[in-house]
Amino acid sequence: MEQFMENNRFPACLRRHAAGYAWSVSLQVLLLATAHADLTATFTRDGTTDSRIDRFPALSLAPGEPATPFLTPGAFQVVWKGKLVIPRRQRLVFSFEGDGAASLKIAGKDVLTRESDLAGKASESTRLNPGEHELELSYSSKPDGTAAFRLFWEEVGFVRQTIPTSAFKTEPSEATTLAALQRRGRSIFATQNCVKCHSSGSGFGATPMPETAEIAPILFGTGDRTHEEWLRRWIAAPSTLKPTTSMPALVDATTEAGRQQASDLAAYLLGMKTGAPAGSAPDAALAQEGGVHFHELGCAACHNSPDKGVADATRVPLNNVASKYLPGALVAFLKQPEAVNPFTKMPNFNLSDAEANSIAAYLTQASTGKETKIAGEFPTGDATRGAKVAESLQCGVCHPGMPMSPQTAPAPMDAIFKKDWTSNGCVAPAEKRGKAPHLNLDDNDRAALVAFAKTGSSSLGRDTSSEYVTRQTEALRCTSCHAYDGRESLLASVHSETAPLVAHLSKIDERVDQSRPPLTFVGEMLHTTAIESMIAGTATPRPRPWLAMRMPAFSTHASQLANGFSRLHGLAPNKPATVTVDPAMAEIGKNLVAAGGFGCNTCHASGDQKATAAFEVEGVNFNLTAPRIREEYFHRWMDNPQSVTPTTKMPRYSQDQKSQRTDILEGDAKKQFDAIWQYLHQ
Amino acid sequence: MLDLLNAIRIFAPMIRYLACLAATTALAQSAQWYEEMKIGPAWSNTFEDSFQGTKRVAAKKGILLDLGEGHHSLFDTETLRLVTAYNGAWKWGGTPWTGQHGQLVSLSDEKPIFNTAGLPGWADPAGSFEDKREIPSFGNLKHADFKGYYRHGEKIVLNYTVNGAEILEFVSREGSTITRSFKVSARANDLDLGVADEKGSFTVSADKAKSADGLGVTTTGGVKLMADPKNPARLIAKFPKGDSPAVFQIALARDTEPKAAAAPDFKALISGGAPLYPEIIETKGVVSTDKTSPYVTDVATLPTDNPWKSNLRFGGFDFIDEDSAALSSWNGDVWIVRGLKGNWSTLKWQRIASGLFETLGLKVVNGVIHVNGRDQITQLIDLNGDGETDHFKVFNRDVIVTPNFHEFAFDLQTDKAGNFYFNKASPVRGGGRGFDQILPHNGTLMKVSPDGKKLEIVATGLRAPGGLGVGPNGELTTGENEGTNQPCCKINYVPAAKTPVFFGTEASRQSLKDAPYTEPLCYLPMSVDNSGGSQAWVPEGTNFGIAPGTLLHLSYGKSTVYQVLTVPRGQTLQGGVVKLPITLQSSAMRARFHKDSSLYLLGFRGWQTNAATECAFQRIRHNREVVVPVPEKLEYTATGIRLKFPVKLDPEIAEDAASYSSERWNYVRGPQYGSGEFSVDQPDKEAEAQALVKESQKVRKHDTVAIESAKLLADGQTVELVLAGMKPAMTLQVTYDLEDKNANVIKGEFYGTVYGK
Repeated sequence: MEQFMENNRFPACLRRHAAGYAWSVSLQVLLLATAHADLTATFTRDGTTDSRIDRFPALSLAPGEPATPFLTPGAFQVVWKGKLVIPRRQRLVFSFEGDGAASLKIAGKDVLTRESDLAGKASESTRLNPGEHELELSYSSKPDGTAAFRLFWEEVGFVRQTIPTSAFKTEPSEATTLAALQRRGRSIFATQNCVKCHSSGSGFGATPMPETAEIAPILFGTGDRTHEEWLRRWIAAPSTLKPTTSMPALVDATTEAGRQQASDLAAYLLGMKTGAPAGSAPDAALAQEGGVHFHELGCAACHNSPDKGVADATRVPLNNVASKYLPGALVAFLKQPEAVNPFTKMPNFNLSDAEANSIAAYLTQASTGKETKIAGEFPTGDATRGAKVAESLQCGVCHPGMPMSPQTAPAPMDAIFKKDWTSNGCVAPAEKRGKAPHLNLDDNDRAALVAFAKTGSSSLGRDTSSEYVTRQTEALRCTSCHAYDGRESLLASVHSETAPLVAHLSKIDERVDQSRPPLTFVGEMLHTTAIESMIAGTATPRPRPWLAMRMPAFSTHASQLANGFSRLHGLAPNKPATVTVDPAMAEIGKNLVAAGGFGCNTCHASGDQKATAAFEVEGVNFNLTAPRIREEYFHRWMDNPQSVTPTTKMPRYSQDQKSQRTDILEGDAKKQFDAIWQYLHQ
Repeated sequence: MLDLLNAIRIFAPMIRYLACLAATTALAQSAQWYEEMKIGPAWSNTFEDSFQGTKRVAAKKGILLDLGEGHHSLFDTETLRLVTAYNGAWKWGGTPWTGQHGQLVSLSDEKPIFNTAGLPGWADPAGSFEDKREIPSFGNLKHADFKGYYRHGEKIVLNYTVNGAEILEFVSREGSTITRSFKVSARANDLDLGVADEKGSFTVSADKAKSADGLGVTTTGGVKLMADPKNPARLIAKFPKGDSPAVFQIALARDTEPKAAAAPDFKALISGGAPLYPEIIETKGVVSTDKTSPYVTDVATLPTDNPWKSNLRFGGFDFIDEDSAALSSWNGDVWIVRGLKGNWSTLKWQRIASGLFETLGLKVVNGVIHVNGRDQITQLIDLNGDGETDHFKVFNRDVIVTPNFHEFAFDLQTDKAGNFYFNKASPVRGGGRGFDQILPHNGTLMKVSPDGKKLEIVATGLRAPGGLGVGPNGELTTGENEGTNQPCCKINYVPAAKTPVFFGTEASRQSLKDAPYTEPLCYLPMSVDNSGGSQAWVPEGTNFGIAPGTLLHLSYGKSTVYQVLTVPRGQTLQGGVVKLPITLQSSAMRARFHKDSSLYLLGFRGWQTNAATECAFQRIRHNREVVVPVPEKLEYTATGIRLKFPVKLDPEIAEDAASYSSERWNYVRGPQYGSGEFSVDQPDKEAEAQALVKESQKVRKHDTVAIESAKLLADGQTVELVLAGMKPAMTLQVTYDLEDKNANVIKGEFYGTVYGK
């Protein structure tokens, strides 16, 4: 339960959890779990409403993009409600940015109302005592439905900046809880590949929910990669081997007939070979080194240890690796996981041959003899029969290139949305499911799917960048490695599981700080192009080369995710623009950065010039500022680095926006930081 | 299948953004200042060199002598041996120079004129060269003592004793011949000197020797040469016993016949000589005209533009008199500034000494400058009245050092009785985590008797104590930094009578095996202090806007001066800090009060700090008409705290609980680096246990402590806050946002530690 609550930090990131909670329990859990630093957003479009819990009020919609997937594109209104939580007395000035019309009320009082160009005049200074203050923020899009909005505050103690999510608080309502459940059902519907069997016929239009276009692994070449024995077990009981899989159980392995089908399918798949030469098996002597990489790369963020089986059902087990892969195939998989499964959640770590070999050696050694057992004997399989079974089970609808039988295809999508999903079919309780495939769903998943079914299928043809990135943040497990909104990453608590793998290394704890950057502000921190290059694995050089860990590539998703992160923060996707540099200011900035000033080069390298004395921590190379960092964020960071990353060792050089350095630019910290900004763009 | 592959390609990323590194101009290549800095004829440091093809730590307390024309010789003041003489320079290393951690200054003596193995330079009374020190390779020899050196112009005369005989040694060079000239006092026995260690054997004939590798040696004054009976490649010189002082010489040259130089005039050499740095540099101080702030900062402009390119990162200072002060730098300079009493239109700076070893503490006692380096406390004595030091006299050098870069010697203070105090850091490894070999003086607070003869440890278990303070009654305080066994920065406090104590770093517990951990006066979260400096006590009779007897704490990392508010805790103190409204141009490292009631503050940037410049020497003046808007008194009550402010407060705001906020949290002290911040009210025992096995800094579970009531007491200045539970907490934060009767805002934060009864 605690794990569930932990994982349900964000209502839109609803996680699966162990089966067995009733729907009411599920709601209760959601209500408890979401009493956090967020706002309740209520969207209205042509009399239809949709609710959502937002981390902060921000919108950036492209032309044609709806406000939410459950609303049609076009003019809309949104009202964000919640509490503004002030830890101590503050005298705050609020301001907007964007287009449309917006109005802010705090404690029932009008604070700021703007129309058209929302930037410009800010509110009067508003004195707020410590505590919680009712906040109501209304926003209307432009008539064509495009929208851009951000909310800022400033105080003598900090520069103008967007209000961080930690300053908000809301309680979930029935509407937001139901909407969250519908979103979850929609997500499950897409990721379980429901639309592959239940074809939409005409498709989902020009802007579909992207997950509907995802495909299952390509099985051609299975014979080059896998052992037959593993194939049988996998087909017989996919969710037993991998609790997070969306592969349904298509045979009944409790029966002799079912096991025969599994064996026949395995025999058929084993015959699918490309003829490509199998790579050589990893050198077992490299296993210890591979274990070091396994730990250092933080594999525990997403995986159980290979010798442990399913210790944590939310992480992928690795105990079947040795029994699955043919010699050499594991190395090939590690080097390019997306080669046969373009939508795999396993990212590409850009492993060297040596790394991939040693990790494969470690995984093989550690998982040997640890494979998951399936009750019952598997008879000898027959490939010809297997081909027929594959066709009858419609394998080809999900796995490109596999046999399928259009004549016996299940009901099309339009038809199933007219039915009651609780009465029969895939989503129905076991006793009513009949011959429908056994999908890997628990009761909460089923409740979510039922809730979604009632909204109709139209939302599958719509999506927003920000909701996409919110879903993918969970699906791709971004927060397993990255802290987010003050929450530690999962890895922070589970990394110790693999620490014994490096126990023999004496100086591993003596490196500079190995913290990974938090994701909290990523959308407003980085230019969209920089986010994309990080996700795509093309960022060269690495911004943080001192980390033993590395950001792996999720290349299939890079562009959409990058756009989503920007829009989530109310920013249109962008790329670095030319900064007009005043040479006099740049010269001041140069002096401030150098040893005679703040001495930034102590910890930050600049091009080929290394940091002069990075000790305990290191900073990102200054040459990477221009291609990466947005100016507004730069000022937020410089003003108070600890307000962005509480544990950063980056010193704070100003207080109340006054610089320690009183003899330059009137001691005005913002001006001094601007000089540094210009210097870094010279 | 091909279609399928094409389909996959469609799903593959369409756009590959290549991080286009804008051709930003690289930071201007800063001049390698250390290559240009004139260090002087004698340079104390830890040096590496090459010995028969292998790199070694040549001398932990070495003095590199400049012999002219690119020749150098290294003397090890611990083994009293001349380590090497060679024609060449060195590869730079060392934190104060290149900024790097771990690398030592490495002499380029791969082809030396000669060098010696790492044994005692002189045999003990039994004639043995065996290293019999308690920790071989570390510390002083029992039979030989380094006493310092004399400077005569560019010439250096080393002074030491061996087996009771006092020796003056002058190393000189003519061409490629090195001459070691010795003046030795009366001596009851022969003295044996290790002259050189070669690969090939020596051929010896009384006063001459030649090695198979071409090293030639000759002697004068009756010094006999002989090969070590156990090692024919080692040459030993025997100085004959005698009832009166005598002068001896040993000349060495490779691949040429050595010829001893003319005997030097030792009397002249130890009587002072021409100054090395005759130029006096004048600067104009920047004096604030601000009459409205409680404190103003005057900046004594440093002579950074000096003929010797000396990098002036001063880390120790004291007043010589009311008009002048001496300052010591991290790179081993000592300067005197004169003109402090005037209007600062002309400050006169004189470089009086150079080449000292990371001198981060300085104290003037009876007019004598004592400067504390990693190697020793040195008295700087001017023999001829030109202001420059001619005699670098050892005051105490019993401290045992390692080559580790982090083994700083911090600060130098005295108590009323004249005892000296300084801190020794622990040898943290390059990444900041864990320690190199710990020796008996690592991580200690040291006390040296007024005559310099006795060194004792008064506290152990320190990690990186950047400074210390000595109170009017001998109370000792130190700063401390986050790290192994240190959950965060803190202010250690111990009454003089309670020493020795253990301050927490287990690796440097030293001999206090069973001593309990001495909790600090207060813990300081990283946002308040991430690297501590010295402490200072406001002297009696000082008008600084806060009461005499008040303790100040300097944050090196935050460049901030804190007033420490204390309440009794048995025989010790507890309490916390409030920030004083003082703006500094660099870090806050050292502070001393002047007789005119101003506070002089010195700081530089050598490691992590938000210092705005490399170094600043400043005078902080209190505008006497302006109230210092910080609490002046703290009390812990059974239900909360009382803070007394220096003025009468607006009662409505003072009694509004919304004018305050409070949080509290604990830390976990353990083998990990630093600590997270853990709830006091709802302890997470599992998380706290985890913090012992892995770093936890990212845990930040603060308890919000409700202000149940705020009451302004009858004096109109003291507010009494009733908190939702008053209980022990390693950090209790209380913020206040008040106004005085004239609507002047008084806003700030108190961070303290509350112990149980």
